[in-house]
Amino acid sequence: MPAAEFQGSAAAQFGRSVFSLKRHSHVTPVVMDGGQSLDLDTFQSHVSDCFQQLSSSSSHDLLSLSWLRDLLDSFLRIHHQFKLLILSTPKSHLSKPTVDRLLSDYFERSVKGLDVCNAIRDGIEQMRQWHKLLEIVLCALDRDRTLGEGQFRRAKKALIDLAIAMLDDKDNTTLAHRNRSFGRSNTPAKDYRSVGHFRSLSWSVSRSWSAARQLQAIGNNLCAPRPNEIAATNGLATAVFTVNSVLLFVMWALVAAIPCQDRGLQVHFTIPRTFGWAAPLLSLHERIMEESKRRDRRNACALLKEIHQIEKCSRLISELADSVQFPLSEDKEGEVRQRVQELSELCEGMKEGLDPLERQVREVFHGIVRSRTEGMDSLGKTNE
Amino acid sequence: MEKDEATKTPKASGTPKAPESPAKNDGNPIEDQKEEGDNADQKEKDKDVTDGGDEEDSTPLEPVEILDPHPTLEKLSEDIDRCISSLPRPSEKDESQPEEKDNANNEAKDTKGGDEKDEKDDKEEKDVTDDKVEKEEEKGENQDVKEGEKNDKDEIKDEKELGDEKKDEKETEEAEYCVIEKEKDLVPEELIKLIEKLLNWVDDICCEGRCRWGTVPADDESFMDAVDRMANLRESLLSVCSKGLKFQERHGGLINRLSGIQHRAMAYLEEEFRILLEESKTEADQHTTAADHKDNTSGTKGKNDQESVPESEPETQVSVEYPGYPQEAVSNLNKIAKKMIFAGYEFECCEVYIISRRHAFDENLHKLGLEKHSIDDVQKMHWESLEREIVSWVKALKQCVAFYFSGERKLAEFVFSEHLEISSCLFSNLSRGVMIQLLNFAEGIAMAKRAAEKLFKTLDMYEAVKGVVPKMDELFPEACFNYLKTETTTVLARLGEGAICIFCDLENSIKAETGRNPDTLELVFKEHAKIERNDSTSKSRDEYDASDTSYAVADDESPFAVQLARVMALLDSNLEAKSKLYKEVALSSIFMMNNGRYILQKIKGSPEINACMGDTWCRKRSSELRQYHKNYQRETWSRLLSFLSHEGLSNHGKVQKPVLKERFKSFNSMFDEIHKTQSTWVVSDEQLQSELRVSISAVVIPAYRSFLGRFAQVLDPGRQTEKYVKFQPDDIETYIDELFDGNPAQIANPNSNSSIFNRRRP
Repeated sequence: MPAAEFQGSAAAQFGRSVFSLKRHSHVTPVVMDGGQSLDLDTFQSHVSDCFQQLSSSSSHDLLSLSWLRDLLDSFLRIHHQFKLLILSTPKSHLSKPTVDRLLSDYFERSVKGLDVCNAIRDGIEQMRQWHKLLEIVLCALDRDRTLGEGQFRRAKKALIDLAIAMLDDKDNTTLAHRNRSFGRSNTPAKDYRSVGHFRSLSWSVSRSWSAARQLQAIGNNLCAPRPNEIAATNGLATAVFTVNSVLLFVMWALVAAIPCQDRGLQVHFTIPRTFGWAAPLLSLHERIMEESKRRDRRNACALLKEIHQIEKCSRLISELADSVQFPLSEDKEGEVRQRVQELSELCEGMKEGLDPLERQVREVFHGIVRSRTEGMDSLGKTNE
Repeated sequence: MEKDEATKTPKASGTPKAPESPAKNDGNPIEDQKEEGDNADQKEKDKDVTDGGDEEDSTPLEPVEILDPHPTLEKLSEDIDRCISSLPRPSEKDESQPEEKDNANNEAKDTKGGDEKDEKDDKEEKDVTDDKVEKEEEKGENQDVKEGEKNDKDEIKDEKELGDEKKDEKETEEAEYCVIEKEKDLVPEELIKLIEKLLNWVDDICCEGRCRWGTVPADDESFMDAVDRMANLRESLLSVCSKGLKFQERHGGLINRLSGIQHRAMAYLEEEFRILLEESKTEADQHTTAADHKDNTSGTKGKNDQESVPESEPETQVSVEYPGYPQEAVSNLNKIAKKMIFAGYEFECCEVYIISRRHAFDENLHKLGLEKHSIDDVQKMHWESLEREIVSWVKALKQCVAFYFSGERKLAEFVFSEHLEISSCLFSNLSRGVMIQLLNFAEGIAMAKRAAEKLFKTLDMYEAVKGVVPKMDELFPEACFNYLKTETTTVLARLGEGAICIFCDLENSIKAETGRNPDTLELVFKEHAKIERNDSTSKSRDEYDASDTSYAVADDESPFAVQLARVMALLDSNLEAKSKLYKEVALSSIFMMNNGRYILQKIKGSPEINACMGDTWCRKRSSELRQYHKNYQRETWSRLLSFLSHEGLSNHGKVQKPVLKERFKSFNSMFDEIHKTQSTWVVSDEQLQSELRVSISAVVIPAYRSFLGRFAQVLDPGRQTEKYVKFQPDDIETYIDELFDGNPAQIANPNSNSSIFNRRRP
């Protein structure tokens, strides 16, 4: 389904460019789907609504897969509305150099968001790998007929692999060595795989890429417009500031929640409280920061709720596996079965949640690219 | 031989009757000594086995080991088989088994306490034996008999007799087990021992290791057999459990240990699988580099070779192709994979496989010169370095499509030949990642700041991606096809759009008459000339076209051609307007010739554009150029030639000297003037330059020669001749050859040396 959509839109976009560019020096506003025009106030209140909604989530939902999907939905909506806003702004306003500068700045920032999207996509792929390791645990402890030493060893091995895979890149190497030798103290050295084997490869960003730096680049020089700026741009400056802040927040939240290369959450939001969306956004920021500082989460590879649950659950199973004696007592077996049941549910939730999340991240990516191209066209600056 | 000897031993010890059974162990050392000479090797092996086992579990088996009736796994297996066959089978109870199994499991849970005891017993080996013998006094007899039966393989009479006895016993057991199950252990002690022995054997291999997989195929075979054997044993033992016997109480520890060793064997296989994947392809690298080398040196030939490989090579030669595993490595991988999947270790096997292949592929791309760049990086990079990246990228993409992907797919299909859904899933995963990486770079380029010099590189990428699209159906399995197709067409659209935008910019800059259009063009074409030289991209043009028809985006080719034609027309009119700015018609013609020729050559040099513009356009262009040439010649040289006309010089057969003098003077000064001016003009295209010179010489020199020959003698020799005949025909030729060099050359005329003209570059 989404495949067909993309194809259609790509082709349409292509066609449009070919033919509209001929007359691009006197661009006619591209008629967007929906076609309605939008004013600044409506845009602001829309953004406020979105963030009110997001921040009303319980602490249980915050940073869960479903919350992230809501977040991305909001982003897509706000992004789309912004596009409508720009397209419904009179050309005479857009051609002002101040506006022009503002929009170019926005496009540049949004391009920086593309790499975050890619890194997040890689992160999702990484989580799929974790999921497979968890499947092994389930396979051993849930689907096998008996619960014996072999099954526990098998689960344990997968859990060790998972623990290594879940380590942050930074301390991966040293800890991985330690853990693996712990895990298999009885096996000779050749038996554990080279640690490099475990490093998950990133497909789309270079080794040196850093999510923290990218976020900083997105947030660089992002400050609320001064009154004279607002006046000079017919209020458009506030909308650009809004959409930039939303971009920064969404990218920041993605990096907070999903594992990716060189995470770092030190991003400051300075937003005047006069904006309706300021309070909910800042409160979300605060809550996520608090979450990241909690003792049990401080060293987590990412703050996604599901990851936390998996960590907890797999640690418990791992401890159980270390403590069991054979034959299993009934209590122990019951406990194991219960943990495994929990894990199984978690796995199911993750499996169901990751694919749509990835699709959405991809949608955000394409959305940014599209609106940038279209925006550039309508500004008549294909050659910047 | 060996077998005979081995069988004798137990026979000897088997003869004693039941009561003596406990003494069996004590008697062993004596036996052992007797046999020492013959069985030295076996004994050593056994010791190892026992040592290996000691680390992990208690080994209650030493006494039996020393007996060593089982020098080989094969033998051991036979014995186990025989014992297993004597176990009560679920047979008619099968239908109700699930229910019973549950019961059995419950019972097993209930009775788990017994296992511990059992294990403890095992540790105190002597006790155990005594204990068991005590418990099973009457059964001990049977057991010994059975042992004898087993070992007296060659004594047919005995075997038959004992076989009957066994059968009888079994029947009795089956009839009775419901009643006496609580008291009686159906699994003969010997089987337990044999199993322990097998487990130790496996454990030993897993712990101690041995030579790498594939070096001694027979060993690999027997290990695999052992794995099967364990699986069967587990099945048998569990099925005994399911009969509700009090089996678990006694032997839960054994089942437990069996599962442990099974896991260990799987972990061992997994490790061997990984090592095979990672280390047996060293040969392959040589293959690849050799292929690469060939590719570099022989250009398209190499490429064709590689492209034809997947189709034409029979499947059996897969080892020579890209992933480069030798045949036997692939078949070993296949065997291990089969075994792991059969044992329920599919996830582990796939994990190892996919991670290894991902790393290998990544390395491959790296070797092709492909680096990962984030989109942001691409925006910031200098064009020069991006250009290099694009060349590698185009190459990498083409190679992936030509043989890397199909190679990976075949490898997966060979290794997981019995599980096509697994191989397809693994290949999907891998190719999806690679394509994501490749497309991402293109995405970055399509988004980069547009500039005229990027046009052709962008088009190269566009062509490369476009070449992938029609091949995707056969390249990628369904699982990732839709996703990749969407992504690929999106990227293709963006690249095409990018190229068109560059075009438009070019168009606009020409429209705007910024005056830099020849420079811009120069840049664009220089770029392309470079590509033409060191890249064979355009060669594949035809094949793309052929396959394009089926694909919708192929249509955008015509807007592209339209666009191109429009840009060209614009350029022409722009050039023409520019040429009018030159007051001198000759110079203006040279300007048009220079530019026209340049454009024509570049277009002819690029098959894509040539195809776009068409032959008619080129012919028209050429004739236009000839026209400019004629214009130039007329403008510059026909006036000069008019001085050499014989007309008006003679009156009634008498040469009019003053007129002649005037003619010579005019010729000299005009030629001098032309030389001075036009030797500063630049015609950088050598062919055009020499064409011009030749055509000038062809009209001027014969005319001058004949003029000189006819009228030179009219002048008085000496001073007069010297004054009026400044050039010999040869001089004229020399000077003509100095035209269009861009150098303000001096004619040997002392009068003209000071006049230096402003250099004008046409």
